[in-house]
Amino acid sequence: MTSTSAVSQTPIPRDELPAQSDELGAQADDPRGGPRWAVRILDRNAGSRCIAAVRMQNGVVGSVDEDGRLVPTPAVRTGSCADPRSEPLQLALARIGGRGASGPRSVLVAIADSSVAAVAVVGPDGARSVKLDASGSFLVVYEGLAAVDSWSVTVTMNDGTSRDYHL
Amino acid sequence: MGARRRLTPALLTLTLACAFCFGAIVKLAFADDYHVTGVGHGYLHGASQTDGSFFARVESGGGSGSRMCYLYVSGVFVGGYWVGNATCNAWSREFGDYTECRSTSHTKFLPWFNEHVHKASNWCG
Repeated sequence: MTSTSAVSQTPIPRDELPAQSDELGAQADDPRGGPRWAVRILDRNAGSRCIAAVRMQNGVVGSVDEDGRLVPTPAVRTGSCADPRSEPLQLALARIGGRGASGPRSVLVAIADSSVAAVAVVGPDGARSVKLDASGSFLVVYEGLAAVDSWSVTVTMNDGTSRDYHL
Repeated sequence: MGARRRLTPALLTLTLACAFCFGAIVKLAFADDYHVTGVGHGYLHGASQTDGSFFARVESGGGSGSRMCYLYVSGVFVGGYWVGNATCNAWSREFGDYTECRSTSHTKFLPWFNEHVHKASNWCG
């Protein structure tokens, strides 16, 4: 005699979507050294482009484990994903809990289109101007988990007008 | 000797209603997986439920407000994002190697929903 048990037919959401293109934008040192930070730009020319904060070393992209080693991560659509035509600036704040010696970090990542002339960031330590790299991206790295309302970004457009962004 | 109370139909109805409301509140505070309130949001597994790949996500749309997608494991914050009018998509692999069945997503997108928790489908916390 065989027995059967009920099995739920509810589909389980699974969604690890590989990106079709993967490039690195602006880079910055970590306040305590180790692999650098970078803006990972996924599916740049797609209807939905993603930007994420990653670590990088010797051409390898990933996250840092509790021993400070870089663990590669594949190009999966993650971070902030949006239509690149919807706003001149796509902005995201990554907050990383951090384990071991690496400690927590707050990393502001963004990518601007060609209509943006300049960007100024106000963060937990005050105002600073940032430089867009060739990809149009920039990032700012802070130690600790900064409150989300401690950030604002002002964009000056090529026509002289400005726009404020908050998270 | 104390007075004996009868379980009248009215009292029984009230008891059942209270039990239902309590269950609904608990369900709201610890909603399963993924649902739609204004926009889709919640917890998503990666390729499987046991490979340590999982997501907290809030989809785009529903207005221009900022949205939050955080991941916790065993009640400890491991990482996440705040984004503007975009899909907020926090992937566990960006923050380390964690036990999937002990993980939760914390999502927020005002005015649609305040911060709340979605558990892994195979929750073992």
